[in-house]
Amino acid sequence: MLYASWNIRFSYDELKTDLRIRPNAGSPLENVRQLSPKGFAVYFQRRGTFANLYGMLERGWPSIVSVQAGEFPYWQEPPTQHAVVVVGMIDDNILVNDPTFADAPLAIPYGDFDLAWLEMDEAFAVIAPA
Amino acid sequence: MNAMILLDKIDLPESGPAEIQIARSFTIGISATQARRRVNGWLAMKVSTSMLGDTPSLVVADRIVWRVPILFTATHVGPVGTVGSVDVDVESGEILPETANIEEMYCRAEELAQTLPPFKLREVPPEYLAKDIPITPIEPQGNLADFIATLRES
Repeated sequence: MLYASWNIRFSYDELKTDLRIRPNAGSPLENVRQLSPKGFAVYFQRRGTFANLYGMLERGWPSIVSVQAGEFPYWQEPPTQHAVVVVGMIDDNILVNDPTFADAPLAIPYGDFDLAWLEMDEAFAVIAPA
Repeated sequence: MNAMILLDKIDLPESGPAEIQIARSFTIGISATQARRRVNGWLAMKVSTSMLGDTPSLVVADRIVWRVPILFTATHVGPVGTVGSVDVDVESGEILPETANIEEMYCRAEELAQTLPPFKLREVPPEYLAKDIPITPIEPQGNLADFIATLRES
């Protein structure tokens, strides 16, 4: 999603290799550091804050956020670890692009997002063209 | 607070009468919920964005720890199955990564993934779609590395 937002062409197979994605088992957020040699600046941490996310958005950098999606009001399945991209903050909602759904962005009330993010120790990552 | 308590490394006879007397004093420095969240953050950062901690049990052995089971989850079905566990020191809250066999967790997740139905994109209920939101076009500004340095200083 992030590559597409920057109009960066990429091969999915190459991305899977770069991020060391295990087939069917995913990969950790820290693996974004593998993109540094490809000309990206990367950052990741736990105990993130809304101020961190807002600061990134102010500068044009969406954040990849780890969430327990069962806390989202639109989520119909049991608790699941999931990653969404925060693309905006407006009024009482955080706007996210969720790769599980065809349409975007989705509006999530701050309280629900906070619970979902808290369950994942407020972990997030940012990648940006260097 | 209710918690399942497991006793580890207790000498027991093979059969016949047995007696267990336990008197251990310790401080609960991190709750079960906090331990699970800390493990979730560790999983997201260092293991996989497809795994989630489940309800911890208290394990009383040489060290007293929260043992957090780790579930493999899929966005279209939820929890699929247990792939391993990791311990968290009950007093310090330190995650003990040596107690988790990460490679085995990956292998187990890959096995479980074979049982999943195919993933399909879903339709979101329309009331959750952000509509008529004015878009603020922002080109990436500045250098992420420089901005991160300011975050670390603050």
